[in-house]
Amino acid sequence: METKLLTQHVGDPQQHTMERAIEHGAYQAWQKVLKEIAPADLIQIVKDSGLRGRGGAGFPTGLKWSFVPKDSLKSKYLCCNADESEPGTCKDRVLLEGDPHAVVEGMMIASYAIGCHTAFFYIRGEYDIGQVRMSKAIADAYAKGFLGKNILGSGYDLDIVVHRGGGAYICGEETALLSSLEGDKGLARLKPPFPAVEGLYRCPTIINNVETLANLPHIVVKGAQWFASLGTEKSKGTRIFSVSGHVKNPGNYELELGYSLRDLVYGLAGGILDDRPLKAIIPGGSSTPVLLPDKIDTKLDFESVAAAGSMLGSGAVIVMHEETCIVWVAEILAHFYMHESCGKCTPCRQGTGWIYEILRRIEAGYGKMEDIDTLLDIADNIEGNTICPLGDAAVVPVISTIKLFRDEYVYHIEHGKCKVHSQFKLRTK
Amino acid sequence: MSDFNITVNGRQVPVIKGQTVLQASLAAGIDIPVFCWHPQLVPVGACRICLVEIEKLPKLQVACATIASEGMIVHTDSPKTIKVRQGVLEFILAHHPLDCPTCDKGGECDLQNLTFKYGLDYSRQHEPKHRVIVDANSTFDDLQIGPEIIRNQNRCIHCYRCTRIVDEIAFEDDLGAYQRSYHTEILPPPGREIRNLYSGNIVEYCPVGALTNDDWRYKVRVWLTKQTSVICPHCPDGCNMKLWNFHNKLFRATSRANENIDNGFICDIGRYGYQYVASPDRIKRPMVRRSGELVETSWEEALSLIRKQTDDIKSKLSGSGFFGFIGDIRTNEEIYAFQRLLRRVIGSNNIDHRFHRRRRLTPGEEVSSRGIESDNAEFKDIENADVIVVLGSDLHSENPITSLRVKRAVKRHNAKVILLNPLPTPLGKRAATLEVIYKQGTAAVLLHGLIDAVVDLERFDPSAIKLSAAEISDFRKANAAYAGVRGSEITGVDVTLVARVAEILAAAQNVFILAGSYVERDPLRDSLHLAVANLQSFCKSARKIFLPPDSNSVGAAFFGAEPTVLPGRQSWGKKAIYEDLWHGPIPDAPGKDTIGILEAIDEDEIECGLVFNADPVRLFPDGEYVRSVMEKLKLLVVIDSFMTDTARLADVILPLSTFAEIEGTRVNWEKRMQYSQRAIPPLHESKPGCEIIELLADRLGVKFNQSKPSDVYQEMARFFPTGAPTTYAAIGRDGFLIRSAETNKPGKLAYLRFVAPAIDTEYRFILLVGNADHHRGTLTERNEILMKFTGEPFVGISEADATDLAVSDGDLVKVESKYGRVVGKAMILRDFPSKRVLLPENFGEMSTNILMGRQDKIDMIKLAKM
Ligand SMILES: Cc1cc2nc3c(=O)[nH]c(=O)nc-3n(C[C@H](O)[C@H](O)[C@H](O)COP(=O)(O)O)c2cc1C
Ligand code: SF4
Ligand code: SF4
Ligand code: SF4
Ligand code: FES
Repeated sequence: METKLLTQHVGDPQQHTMERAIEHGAYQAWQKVLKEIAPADLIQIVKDSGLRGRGGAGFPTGLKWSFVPKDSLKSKYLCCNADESEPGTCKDRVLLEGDPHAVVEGMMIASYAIGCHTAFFYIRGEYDIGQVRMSKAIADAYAKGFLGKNILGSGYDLDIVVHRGGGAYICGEETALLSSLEGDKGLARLKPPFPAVEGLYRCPTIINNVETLANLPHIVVKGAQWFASLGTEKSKGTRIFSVSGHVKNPGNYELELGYSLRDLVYGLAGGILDDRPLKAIIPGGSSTPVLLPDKIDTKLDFESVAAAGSMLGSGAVIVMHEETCIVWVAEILAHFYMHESCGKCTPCRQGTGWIYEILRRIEAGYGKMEDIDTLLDIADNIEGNTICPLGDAAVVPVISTIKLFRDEYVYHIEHGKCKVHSQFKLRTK
Repeated sequence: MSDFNITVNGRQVPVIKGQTVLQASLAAGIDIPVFCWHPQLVPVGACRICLVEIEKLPKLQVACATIASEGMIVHTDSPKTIKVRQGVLEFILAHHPLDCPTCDKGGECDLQNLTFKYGLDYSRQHEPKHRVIVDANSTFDDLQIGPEIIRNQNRCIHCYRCTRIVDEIAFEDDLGAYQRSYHTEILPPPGREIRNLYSGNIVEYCPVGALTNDDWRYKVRVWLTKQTSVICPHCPDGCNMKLWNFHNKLFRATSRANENIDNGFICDIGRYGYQYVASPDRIKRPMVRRSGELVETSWEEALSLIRKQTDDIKSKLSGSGFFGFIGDIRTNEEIYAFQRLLRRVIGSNNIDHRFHRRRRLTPGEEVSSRGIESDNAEFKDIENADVIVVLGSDLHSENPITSLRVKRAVKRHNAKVILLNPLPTPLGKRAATLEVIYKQGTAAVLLHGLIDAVVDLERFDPSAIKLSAAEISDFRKANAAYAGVRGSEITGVDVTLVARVAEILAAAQNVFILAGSYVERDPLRDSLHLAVANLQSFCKSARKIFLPPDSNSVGAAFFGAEPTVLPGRQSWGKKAIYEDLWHGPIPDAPGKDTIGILEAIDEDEIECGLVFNADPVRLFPDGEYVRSVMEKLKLLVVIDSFMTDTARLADVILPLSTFAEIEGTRVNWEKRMQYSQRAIPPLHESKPGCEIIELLADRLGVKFNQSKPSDVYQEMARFFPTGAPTTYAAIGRDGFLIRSAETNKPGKLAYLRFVAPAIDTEYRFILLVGNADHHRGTLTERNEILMKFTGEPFVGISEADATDLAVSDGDLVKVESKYGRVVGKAMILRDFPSKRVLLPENFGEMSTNILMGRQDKIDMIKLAKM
């Protein structure tokens, strides 16, 4: 069973309009915040709710907000990260298109909590409808007096600026997002300083994911205790999982955290395509390690997935059945990371390309046995040695597929062709 | 000094708070490899070669960007660090072309060096190398990205030093990193070239051979060359450089980082400037005039001729029938020896170095009067100022490295920069907080109006300055005609803009005033100097520098190249000291200055001139008059390296060696005396200045036995303040700051009397003289590389005037004054004020001095389309 909290109204084709959104309770939280809640209390409420970031790392949201220096005379900024580009992930899109007012309201609440008066909405270039609907929602919010100067007589000012990215995965990484927003090329920056201390225009900045922000109105209206009652001990609330790959009913499913992976794959998603045996699952987007079918009973919450040897990541569940060539999977993912590396630091810029080239060679039937160790060693030289986590992410598919499916690599190299009778034919050079 | 220690490889390493692990380690002599780090740039942590292990931290950290904190235990040689270092090198080399044998960086390449030191000796890379192909028919992937810079993208290791230098140091925007991942390419923006004044630095600091420049490329290998340490002769900033030669031929100049001055960056004028040394136009042998023609001859013949003719003149007119001009780019030693030759051997005090660049002469100017001397100040003080005022200077073109210091103050300390100029200058768009354009000739009024606006402010605190209430109110009363709207009518500067400048000044803790060439050319130069001093008195704390026009103008003034001042800036009363020293008399009458000399020639009181690396015919106002006067001389001896306009009139020419062929000292605007080595022996038959002067002295009857600069230096050294180095060896890297008593003390306020010059209705345009891009002075015209940047003289006019006269870019226009006319191609300048014309002074074919009057306060011209 889905638990439809954020996605309750996304099925309503008119939910993106101000009228329908208000009918469904939009901006009640915002009015309540402005009237009744002090910023410090708001941060405490979010801390108490146990909300953790939905962008990938799962960092506690209230705690992150509290890193903004209270006594700084500098402006503070909020950036909503709608760059959603991780392969397999399309959960934010649902909200941006289906319930944009919830995201706008979430941005308002977060801005208020950290003392921000100009918030930025950074959306990936290809999200057309999302951009149009969000812009409209923001314009309507101005018209209603929910944004602008002295909002609803509270004395609080807030502007929201929409910024369309050029369509780069790296711009979802928070520091690269800031560079891009400042008008520079989207290159990741060294941390420290962390954005909460020195971010956009060298001012304290909070970056939050779309889904994270969309939770805020519910927390404000229904209370921290109520939110904390959803999910597991350490993973509160719901998450939207994007299920793709070899399942009968791919799509987005909003689940209470702690839901079983088996129930998601075999229940809601209708089971494996053609009822073939399951081969592997990537549980949290392309940057998370692969799980074998024996982990199908893992609960979908931060801790359980970690215990199973992977990460909840961005909540993109990619399902592969037995006819999937694992080397080919690694190759296409490697191609993605090579292509999306921003090129700033050496290991990622050079290493991702090298990994891809070796994988391509193995896939094409020209592998050498030492390639496997070379791949692992290249991965070792990248991992932990880069400026931003993209480098670490890039090696995850390589390491985890070699770890779990080394025999397939060996077969490829020894036979010059694929072990599985794949529908994806070996490419011949 | 140090605040605490960290442990690096088991050693205690002292740390000054704020230092990175890298800085502390390097200071302690522990080597950590770097590619992208550069001491003057903000760390980016891009290359990852400097990753080190720090205990208690889960991941390796980049030493270049990790601030050292107390108790840190760092390992730079642990197995983990060594592995990742090899890994990074392997990554970089994976697609590196490894064309070291044909690469110009070979031998001084960081990648080569670090690979030898830390790299693997095998390769695991079996994939084809990526290659950015520029020309499919060539194995070289050279792409010209600017007039002088060639890029080979395949060698690039993406350290971003080049783009950061352009952005962070130069505040320019003509280079960037385009594309993403390993496709990232270093390129100028589409449709543009990299051609900023500092562009050569990117070649020097590229750690590999990805960026090269034309002068050095494919010509010589670095290990064959010899380096010498010289001081750039092109402007009074006095940057430290290395000249690189092979078989006595110069191949390039690079910086020689001196954090007192240049921080390791030099401008392109300095970098490529050495090219004139090997110019084919050099005067190669002595020349004498025979039946009207200059013909080559021997030294012996030239010298005998001089002896014979000077004897005649001397018997007729005595020493006062002679004069000497010496150029401001010569060394102290030459200047000192030259004035000694004139005063003691020839018996004439008629000597001057101020015949150039429209610098106005005021009788008695040399006698230091309050307000017209620069304060004791250094480059570093610019950085410590919170407000920098640039007055009457195109600082970017005239003092390029001072300009970088101003930018650095902006970048690092958020300093505010106020430009007060008669025309918009390149620094304006790049670094100015406010840019004020006044009408040339009214700067003194502007400053007085500004002072009034400061006093008018509520935040103005009279107790913070050292003036009494009465002094302030008297000054304001006397100043009423220049304050507010009335001042604004004279200067053409909006009152609200003046008020904004006043706001900034009133809030300033520490002001630095840089006054430049437009101050020296101002019709009210002396009043303007005093106005600067007045402004200083109204600031809480301020220093002022009057930027000298040339690389050794300060030395020339100090070592006696002015008629009434003896070496060491000693007054005439101290003459006996020199007579003792030089074993003979110096004439009693103080000599004449440039104007006096020219008039005396005109009146046949002077018949012989020694012109040493000077070109008054080209540079002094009313060029036609100067020429006609020079033609009257019975004997004109020109000692120079090039056939200048003045040399063309000479009776005898002696070939002079250039800065690279001589050693000696020069003094920059900080009054820092620095030593410049000889790079190559004299070319052709030229001789160094000191040798020529000794030959002349000997021929004319007095031997000093000082044909070597070091001999002259030892004698000069006695005029330095105590503690000064007495030998070249003792001068050292920091040079020596010539310091008189602290001058920046506020004194009595000076009142201004401004009379607007009468307007001639025919000549309605004000002539402004400036520099073309990549040019400074006249030597740069002899330089092929610099000529690539702006090859042609131009006539700069405003958009409004262009419309009025129906002139488009490139049309021929005639610029005419009462004294002469020139014709040039129009260049329409954006944001340029109307009714002004800007002419570069760098081109012989368009001399600006022929348009100027000797007596005129302001140079007015008329303009017409041809
Ligand atoms: C390469 C890379 C791409 C990322 N892309 C996204 C993204 O598209 N959307 C997102 O919300 N977070 C993305 N992140 C995570 C952000 O850096 C950041 O942690 C997140 O936006 C914080 O929001 P949260 O605390 O609400 O999760 C990415 C991180 C990396 C390293
Ligand atoms: S890890 Fe990759 S994406 Fe991140 S900064 Fe380095 S090159 Fe750019
Ligand atoms: S061109 Fe040279 S300086 Fe510029 S990024 Fe490449 S290697 Fe670095
Ligand atoms: S700034 Fe002046 S001294 Fe320095 S390199 Fe340029 S011309 Fe030479
Ligand atoms: S030198 Fe530290 S990362 Fe390049």
